[in-house]
Amino acid sequence: MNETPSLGEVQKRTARLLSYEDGLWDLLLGTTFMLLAIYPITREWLGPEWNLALFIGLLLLAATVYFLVRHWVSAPRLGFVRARWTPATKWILAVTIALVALTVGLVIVTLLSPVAPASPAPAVSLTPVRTYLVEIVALLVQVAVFSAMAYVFGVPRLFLYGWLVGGAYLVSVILYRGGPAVFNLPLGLAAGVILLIGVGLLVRMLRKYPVQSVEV
Amino acid sequence: MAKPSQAGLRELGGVDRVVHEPARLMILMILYGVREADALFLLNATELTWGNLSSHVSKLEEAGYVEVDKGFAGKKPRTMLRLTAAGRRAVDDYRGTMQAALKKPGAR
Repeated sequence: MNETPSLGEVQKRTARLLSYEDGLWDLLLGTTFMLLAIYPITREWLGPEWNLALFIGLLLLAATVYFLVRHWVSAPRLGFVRARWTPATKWILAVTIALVALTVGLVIVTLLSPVAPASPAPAVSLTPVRTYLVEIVALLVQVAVFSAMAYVFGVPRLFLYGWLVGGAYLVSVILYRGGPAVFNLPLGLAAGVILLIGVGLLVRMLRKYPVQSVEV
Repeated sequence: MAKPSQAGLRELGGVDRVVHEPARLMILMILYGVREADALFLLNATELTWGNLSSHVSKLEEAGYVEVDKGFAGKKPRTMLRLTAAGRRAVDDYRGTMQAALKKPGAR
C-alpha cells in the first residue's frame, strides 16, 4: 500500500465495502422494480387491495432475505462493522430512505395507479388525470436520487441505475398509458439489467473474498 | 509555489508519528467513521497484508488509540476494533496540525 490516504476516499471505500461490494443492494433494488413490472398483471388477478398486500409482503420477504444473506454470506467474507450513528449519517439515511420511497411511490401513483374495472370499459375511462409535469418531475427525482447516491458513496453504477429506471419509467408512460394491464417491459428490462449486475457482483464477491477469520 | 510558514514547519516537527504513518492513518480513519469493525473488514478496506495489519494495530493499541476485543461470533473467532477517546482526539489533532502546517500563507 503506497497511496496517500484521503479521509473522504477512505470513508467512501468503507461505505462501498459495507453496502455495495456484494451486489445484494442491487439484487434488492432489481427485485423491487421487477415486482413493479409485474404489478399490473397481479393487480388484474388479485384486485388492488390484495395486490398491494402481495407487493408489500414480497418486498418484506426480499428485505428479510437480503439481511439474512448479508449476515450469513457477506459478513464472513467482507467483515463486520457496526455503524456510528452521527447526526450526519442519520440524516443521510433518512433522506435516502425517503427519496427511494418517494421514487417507488411516484412510479406506483403515476404509472400503475389506474384500477381496471371488472367489466370491460373503454380504455379512455381507465386513464386517470395525469400531466406530463408530474411525470417529468418523477423522472428527475429518480435520476437525482441515484445520482446523489452515486456521488456520495462513490459508486458510479448508480448513475446508470438512475437513467435506467428513469428512462424505463418514461418509456412505460408512453407505451402503456391507458392501455391494458400487461407486463411492464421497459421496467422489467431495467430491473433485469440491475439484477444481472447484482448477480455478477455477488459471484465476484464470493470468488474474491473467501471465508476467513482474522486474528490480530 | 507557496512555502509553509516557519510556525507551520515547527508544527510539522511535533506531529504525532504514530498517527502519521499512512497505513496506521488509514486504519484510524476507517475506525473514525464507524463504531467498531472487525479485523477482516479492516483487512479488506485497507488492502494491507495480515502481517502489516497486525503490526500496525499492535502499535495503535500500545499508543492507546485503539481498543481490541477478541471474542467469538458463533464458533468462529472475531477480533473487534474500535477507536478510543484518545485515538479520536489524536486524529482530530493530527488533522488540525496538518491543515495548519500546509495552509498557504495568506489563505484564511
